[in-house]
Amino acid sequence: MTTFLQYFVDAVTLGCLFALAALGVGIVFGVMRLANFAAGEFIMIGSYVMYLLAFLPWPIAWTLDLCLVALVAVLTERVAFRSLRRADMSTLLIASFAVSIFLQNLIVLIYGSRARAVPLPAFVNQSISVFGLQIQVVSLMTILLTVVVLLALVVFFKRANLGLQMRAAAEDFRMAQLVGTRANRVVAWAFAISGVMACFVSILLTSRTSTVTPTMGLTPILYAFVAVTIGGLGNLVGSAVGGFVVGFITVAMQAVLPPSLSPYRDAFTFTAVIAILIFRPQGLVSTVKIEERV
Amino acid sequence: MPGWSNKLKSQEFWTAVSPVVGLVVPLCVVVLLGAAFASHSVQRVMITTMLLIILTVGFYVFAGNSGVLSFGHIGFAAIGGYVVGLLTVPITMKAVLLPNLPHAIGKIAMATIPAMIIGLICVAAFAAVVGYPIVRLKGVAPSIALLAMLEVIHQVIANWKSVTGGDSAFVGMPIDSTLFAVLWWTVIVIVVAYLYQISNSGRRLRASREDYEAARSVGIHVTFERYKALILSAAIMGVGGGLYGHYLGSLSPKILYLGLGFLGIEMLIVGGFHSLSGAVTGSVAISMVSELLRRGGDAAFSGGVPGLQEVILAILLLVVLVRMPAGLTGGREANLLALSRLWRRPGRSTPTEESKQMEA
Repeated sequence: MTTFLQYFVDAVTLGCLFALAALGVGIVFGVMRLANFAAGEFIMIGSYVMYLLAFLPWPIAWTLDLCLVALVAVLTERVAFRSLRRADMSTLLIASFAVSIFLQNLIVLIYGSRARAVPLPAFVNQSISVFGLQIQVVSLMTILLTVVVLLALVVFFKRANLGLQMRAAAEDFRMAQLVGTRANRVVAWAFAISGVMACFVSILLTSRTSTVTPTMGLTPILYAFVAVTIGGLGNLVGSAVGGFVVGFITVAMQAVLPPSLSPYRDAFTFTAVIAILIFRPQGLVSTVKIEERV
Repeated sequence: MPGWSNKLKSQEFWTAVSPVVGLVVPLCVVVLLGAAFASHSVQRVMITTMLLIILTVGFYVFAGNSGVLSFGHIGFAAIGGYVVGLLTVPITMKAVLLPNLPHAIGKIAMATIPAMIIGLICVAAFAAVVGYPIVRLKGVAPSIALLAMLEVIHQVIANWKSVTGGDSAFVGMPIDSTLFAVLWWTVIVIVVAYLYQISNSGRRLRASREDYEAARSVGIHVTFERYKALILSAAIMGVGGGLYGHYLGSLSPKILYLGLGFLGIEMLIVGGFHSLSGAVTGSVAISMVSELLRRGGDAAFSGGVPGLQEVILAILLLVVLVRMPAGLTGGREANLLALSRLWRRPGRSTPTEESKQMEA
């Protein structure tokens, strides 16, 4: 029973992490129909900022980190994606791939490709016991943060004016523009939010691994993409659900696979996800039209 | 086949073959000149360029014809590379390097060409198994699913120590991807890609790229056409991977992975996403740029700077996407009958059908 609960906590934690990453990708996809590969690099840059600001007290460092990554996200939009806003999905996807390669190799150019150790505040690696379960502080942080972020997003999208505009833009960008939504503002905010999400992911992820490498963004972005896809593209609830589903599958694989197969965990997870897509090609939660109207 | 002599005289026939002649003849001429006069290092550049042409054309057969982007195609090349390698590494070498190899494979060592053929069949079979659920997806979902597939392939190769040697290099393949061996394969690949493109099936797929709904409304089974293109392009990628292994003499999981995949995408976009000539032109152009960067980098910084080349190529790709979305060829094929057209200024490239749709 305890083992099962332990796995359950792991699954929820991982699910939260993937849900955060998927929401960041999903928000931009909703507004711009851009599956932003570069979001992985936002995560990576967030970790490098943590590494560079480690001399500051952690609340200040992490706040600065959030602001900086949001800024980087907005900058990439301004420099690379704005001129492509009317391009088709494939072009945007390629552009985001190019931005991702650019940012990744820029970091290689500046800091080299060697992994670096990130000094962390002492509390993150402790664990507390609840009803006989050992729960790491990082896991607790992840779960609490995700709950807060999800609630904040719900309030934002239901109540705030900007949130409403964003939903309208996600539904029909051109129509939203015609009724007075300022496109640049909405898209810039979507990128800023996705940058903040990416930075949350990067703080939580780095607190676990305490290392940074220039290629560390790839795995989380891949999981986020996969989560967004099985959740149903262009649907924020779907993105969150997809994140949790992928998290649960991953932990289930970890629990079920014999040790000889455990290095292949991700391979099994992705195969399972593709298998889900056989039965639900449109994703688990699908409400928004992705096909263009004729 | 009846009427071949008539066909040879007809204008349509020559119009039809002119793109492939326009690509293959210059390629052969350059390689023959290179074989006769060029230095060893220039010949090596020619070989890598042709290998990249094969990989880009393989990628184009699916992505260019269907309009569906794939980040995972390099995974097919990885499978091809390792399968061909496993078949050609000498038995004694396998006994030493991969002692835990399954018995049947450990006792096989064959010549390169039959191994390549078996390799491409294996890759095509793999694509046939995993491909259908992927091509059924819509929008960007297939691109993401193919990326996930690449990750699966990569992980299996990197961890399956008894067969692939895991993270360490997989060595011992005979180094026989010579200038001419690669040239013949490149010519075959270009011809096959072109024949597919002008076949009924290829035309149906290209119609669906221009207008998905209209193509469906005239009865084209878009999913099935995409599926066929995926299998063919996977087979070509398999050939490319096999030749790559036999060019380097070794493979490691990192070689046939996202870096090379990115290069392939960049080549196709820079050349022109919608034409075979674009795939070839882009491969040659980017190979030249990257060779210049490599040499220039070596001269300026003695040893090159890690990351610099990728940064510059990424900026180049972004500039092309914004300024010249149809690429160098503008989506046209090489046309011998109207060589004069090549000299007319291409002008600002026309928006593709998809982008017009998005605006509408």
